[in-house]
Amino acid sequence: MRRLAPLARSLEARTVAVLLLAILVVHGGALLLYRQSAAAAADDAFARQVANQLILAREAVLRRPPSERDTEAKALSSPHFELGWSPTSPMHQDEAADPGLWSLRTRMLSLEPSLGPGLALAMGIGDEAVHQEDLAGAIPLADGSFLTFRSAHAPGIARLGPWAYLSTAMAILVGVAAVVLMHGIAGPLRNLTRATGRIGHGVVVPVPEAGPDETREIARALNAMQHRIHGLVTERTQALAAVSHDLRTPISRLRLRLDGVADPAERQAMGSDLDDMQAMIDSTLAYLRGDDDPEPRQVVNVASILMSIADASSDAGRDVDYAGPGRALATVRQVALRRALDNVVDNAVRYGTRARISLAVEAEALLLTVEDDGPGIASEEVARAFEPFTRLEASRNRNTGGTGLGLTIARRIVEAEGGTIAMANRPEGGLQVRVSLPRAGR
Amino acid sequence: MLPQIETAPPAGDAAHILLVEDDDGLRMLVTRLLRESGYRVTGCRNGAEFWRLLPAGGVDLVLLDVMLPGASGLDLLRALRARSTVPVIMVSARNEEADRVLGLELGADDYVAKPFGRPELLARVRAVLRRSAIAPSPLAAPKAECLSFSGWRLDLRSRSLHDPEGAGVDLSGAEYDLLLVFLEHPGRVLGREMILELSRGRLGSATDRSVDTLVSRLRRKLEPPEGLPPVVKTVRGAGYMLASKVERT
Repeated sequence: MRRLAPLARSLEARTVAVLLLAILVVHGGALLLYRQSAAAAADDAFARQVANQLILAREAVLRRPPSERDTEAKALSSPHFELGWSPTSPMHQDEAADPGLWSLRTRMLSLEPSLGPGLALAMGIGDEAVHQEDLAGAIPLADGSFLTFRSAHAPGIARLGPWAYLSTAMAILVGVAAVVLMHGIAGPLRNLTRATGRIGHGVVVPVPEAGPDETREIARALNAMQHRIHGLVTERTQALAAVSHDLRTPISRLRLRLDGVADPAERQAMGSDLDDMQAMIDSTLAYLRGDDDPEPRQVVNVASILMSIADASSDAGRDVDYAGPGRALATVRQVALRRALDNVVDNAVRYGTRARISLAVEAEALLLTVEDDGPGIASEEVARAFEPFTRLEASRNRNTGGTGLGLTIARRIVEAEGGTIAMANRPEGGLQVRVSLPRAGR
Repeated sequence: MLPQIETAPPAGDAAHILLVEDDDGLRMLVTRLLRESGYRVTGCRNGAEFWRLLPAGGVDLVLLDVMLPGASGLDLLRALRARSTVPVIMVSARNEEADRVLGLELGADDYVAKPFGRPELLARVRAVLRRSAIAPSPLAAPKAECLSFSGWRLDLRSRSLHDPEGAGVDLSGAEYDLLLVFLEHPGRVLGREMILELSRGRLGSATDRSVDTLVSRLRRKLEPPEGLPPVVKTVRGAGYMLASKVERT
């Protein structure tokens, strides 16, 4: 039942259910109507047959003298239609008034009025069970005697012919065909749903404009909407990027004017503020650049990048070291990967006092680890740490600067290179970021 | 850093720098800065002014902004290289690797990204002027684009290093400059002072100790793949030596 629940919610399943129900009702109704009309036709034929035989038998019997009449009637009998002659009425009054047979009697009288109003009919005369369904009856003759009959076939029983089975088979076939066709019609809708699921991850996903008019219209509208949104986002992005680029010129001016500041301490403080502004602009631009990075991929010694990062950080007076092999190859965009790893290490020293970078060469991948001794982050915030503009102030509450884009950019770059990035708190305190990159030539 | 500025060349044979920068404030500041350092500076705003000023002659260096109104700095550079070998330093607000490589490929001698500080700009200007003074590159002989040594390959345009198996190796700016010093003097023992002298302006405020650190860092990056001899050898008591042949391609 649990597996049927989603089926019951599906538009396709519901449509198919309605369709099958309709076929079932129509088919059942048709069978019922046929049965009714077949029964009426059988009744009619039976009435005609009985009336005819009675007329013929009456004439034959009346031609004989009374002593031979019974014998003559018997001779006219067939296995299914027994005739007899009786000088007195063989039927009781109450039997002749069987209301179920009125319509048969009326029909017989309307076919052969000469049978006369004395016609009496009854069901199941006799004690034997075999004869319960038989029709018995009598008509008065001109001399006051009676001609009796008994028909083995009761009226009103119409059998379902083989065509009924054929029509049932046909209904089933039509049902199956309808289900298959419905599935086909629902196909474009399913494709539409699948394509829609891919929308919104940065690139314009062409939604297939196929299928019935309605789905085609939806797809067309979706495509148009995507282009509008993409255009809007691109426009905003370009504006933001242009501003970021333009900011570099005034920062340059400020940097050059810095030489006019007499107080060395003040000069240094202003210089570091300008450094912060520059770093924010750089990371904003890196974030805005998105996925269209034109840098080609090449086999790169990742260890050399880690060495450079550790060296540059040490030169800037931060406690960062690299321990690992001198050579470890991966096929990546070198400048982009450098930026990603820079951001990870920067994040580590920003919140901790030192960072340890290590590299392990595994069978399929290079495993890069950056560990800090900072406060770590709450485990429920780990997933949020990679979201853009996120600052996990709760646990890492310090005036640390940064744009909140570093780890977002790092994750996007690492994932673009076919790698993964994850973070976890170390049991001994601090945060550990693990970056896995596929090895070159694997 | 300020004392270095005092040692600028005297005004008599001062190098003439043509500055192309559309931002008035920045042009004024850079002009002042370079004049304080003893250079003759002419500023202009765009390509049209640039072409008017250039034939006046005596230009030793062009500082060219990439983002100019009208024809971009890269267009100017392309046109300039068709007729002249005057040293050019590109100045750009777009600190993108692709832009840097494109500028260098079009024939720029160096590339400075905005925002830059006074020491960085002066170091670059000095280094480029010095290089052009030592080896004025005639039009006929194209500059080397690649230096090969012991299977390693240093691309001078993109400033990228590849190991004998073709894998890219990350080099810092200082490591690149140091490697270039070694590659320009293969087979010669270079002492620390010598290295500082040869790379003057490029290794910035390097000291003897930092030269040792830098050499050891460079050697770690130049670690040969398997069983090959080291590229940079230590000569006890004397300094360092690049122990391989250098081919220019």
